[in-house]
Amino acid sequence: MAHRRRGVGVGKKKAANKSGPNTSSAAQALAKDLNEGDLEFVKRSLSSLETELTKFAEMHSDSIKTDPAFRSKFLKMCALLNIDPISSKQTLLGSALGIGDYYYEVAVKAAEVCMATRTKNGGVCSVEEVKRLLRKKGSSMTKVSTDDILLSISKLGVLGGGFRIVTLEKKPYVVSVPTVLSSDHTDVLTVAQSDETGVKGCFSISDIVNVKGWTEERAERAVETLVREGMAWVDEGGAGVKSKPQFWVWSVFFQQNDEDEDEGE
Amino acid sequence: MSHTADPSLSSFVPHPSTASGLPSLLPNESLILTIDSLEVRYTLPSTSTQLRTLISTSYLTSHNFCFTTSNNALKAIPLKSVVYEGKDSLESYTSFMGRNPKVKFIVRESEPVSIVKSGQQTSTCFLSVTDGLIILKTDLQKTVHEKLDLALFRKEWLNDVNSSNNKKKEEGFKASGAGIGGIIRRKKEKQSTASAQINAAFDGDLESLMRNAKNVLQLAEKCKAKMSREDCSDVDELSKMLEGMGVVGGVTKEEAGDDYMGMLAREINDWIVPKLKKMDSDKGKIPIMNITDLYVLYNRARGLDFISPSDLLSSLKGAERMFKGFRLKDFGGVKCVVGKSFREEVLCKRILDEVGEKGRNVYGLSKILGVNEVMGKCIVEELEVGEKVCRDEGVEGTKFFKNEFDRFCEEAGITM
Repeated sequence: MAHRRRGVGVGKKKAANKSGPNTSSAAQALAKDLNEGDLEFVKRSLSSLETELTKFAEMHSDSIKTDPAFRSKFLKMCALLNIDPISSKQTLLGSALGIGDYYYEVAVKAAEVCMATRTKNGGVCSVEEVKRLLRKKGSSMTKVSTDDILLSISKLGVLGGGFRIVTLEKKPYVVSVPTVLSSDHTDVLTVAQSDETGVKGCFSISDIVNVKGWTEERAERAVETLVREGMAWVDEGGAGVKSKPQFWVWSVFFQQNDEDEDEGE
Repeated sequence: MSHTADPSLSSFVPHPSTASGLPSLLPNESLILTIDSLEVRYTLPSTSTQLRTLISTSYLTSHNFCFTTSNNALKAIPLKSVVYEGKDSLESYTSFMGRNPKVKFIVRESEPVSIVKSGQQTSTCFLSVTDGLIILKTDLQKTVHEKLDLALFRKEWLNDVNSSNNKKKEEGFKASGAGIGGIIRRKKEKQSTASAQINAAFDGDLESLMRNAKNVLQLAEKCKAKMSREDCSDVDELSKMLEGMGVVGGVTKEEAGDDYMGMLAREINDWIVPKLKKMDSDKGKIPIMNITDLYVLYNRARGLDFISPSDLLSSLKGAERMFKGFRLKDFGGVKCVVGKSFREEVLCKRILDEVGEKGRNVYGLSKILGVNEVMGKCIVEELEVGEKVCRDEGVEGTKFFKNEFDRFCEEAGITM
């Protein structure tokens, strides 16, 4: 009797189709498990590396500072893992004079925060907001105070990049762009900051006219500059709405929201 | 042990230097120590009794001992050619007859150089080469010894060799590695190796981490790569800026002492000049960077021991004067560094070409010029003040155009 060749031809194809889906789904499930396990392990390793490096930096900070060959390697590891290796310490003399590693670290990180948020706030960011974002940045910044930020930002002034502090309604703001703000511009920002407009951070031309007693033209001119510089956003009320445009100052509005959240906590 | 008979300076390996005269370093190499005004003494084989002297600045790196010759060329003695002898007797030499110790490098071409120590009184810092020997005598004796000891102990140059020969070993087929079971087993093995590497690296002091640094770096790179594939979140502008900034040696006050500002100027020069050159060579970009951005980026590249804004400014001024690799410039009140090749007229022509008939806004121009928006705005406003461009503020926002008012007036016969 001739040997039957099982496993070839259409018969095999049908058999494969019958058993195929089960086999492939099992393989897929296994592959998924392996990948998830892999990812979990990678996350664990990264977190472990971060913890160990930070711990190591704290324990051996003096040796790291005086050993260039080691420092170079150590920093490469930290840079790769996006870790701030050294937590600068505040010294008594440094606090009095606003000098020392700690203040330079605050200056660098505050400048980073201002640069990163510039597209949203046009380069005007409340010091409270800077503080909140800095505190999220790592262990060395958890206790950063408003005074630390004010001191550090004042040091950046010598670099001529436009970094400075302006005070609106007794609240300090960091301006990180070289745009010259006239007293009219700061007055508009002050109106936005005040409670008289109903919602902090939001105002209309008529609010400015009412609060400051200016002509509409003067108010429009001042607001126009702020809008052009990205410091204020325009809300025209949407298509078909015949209301007058409202303006939002991002840094003031979000600061208000954060304060509300903090109170809630 | 046979010694090479040629101790002349020409027998030392010429070493490339950076724009500020520091030794160029390999990716894995780091500058450990700088000794100023070192006196180098050496005798040529033909005139072995005639002592020649030159004043040199010398550098100890993780790979080489370098010194400058009278024509400012840099010569190097590879540390891999050095055998450290009599190490334990350093203290006894120091105390012997109240004399300071000295270190002799026996010069060879490719064979290991041996170092012998003996006591000799000296109050200056100098290095001499005698009959195939380099004798190092310095007030910084203890520091030099410590740093040299450590560099010779760590043998960093071996990592270069290992990484260049780092080819994956081909393993023969094993039945245990086949199939799905094999894949799972291999994964588990890799994971346990990685865990062991982390434990080994952080189990102890600096040296254990230094020994395992390569493994940790590789592991971190792999992990980051894996995570970035999973996490496709947007990269903000700052992260883009921080990319490719590298890590600098980060000269510290503790190491550099009185010459801190000089060393800082050199380091900043060597860090910024290649970046400006790269910007210049990138099509369309202009070699310009605002100093506040530079402050953030440079401190990030240092990683620790942040410098103050005024130290940065002083160092930049010093580096500009000493090395002339870049210039400091004001654009609309914003202080910047510009590359050596930067010409205002070229930038002006470039912007005029770009704005063309249709005009461009600041965002578009900044993107084309490869600068951030704040910088782009300062540049274009400076040109506006110089009446090269003019703005049109319309419903589409502010656009800049070539300033043609003079031509219009001329054509219309209007005199201003």
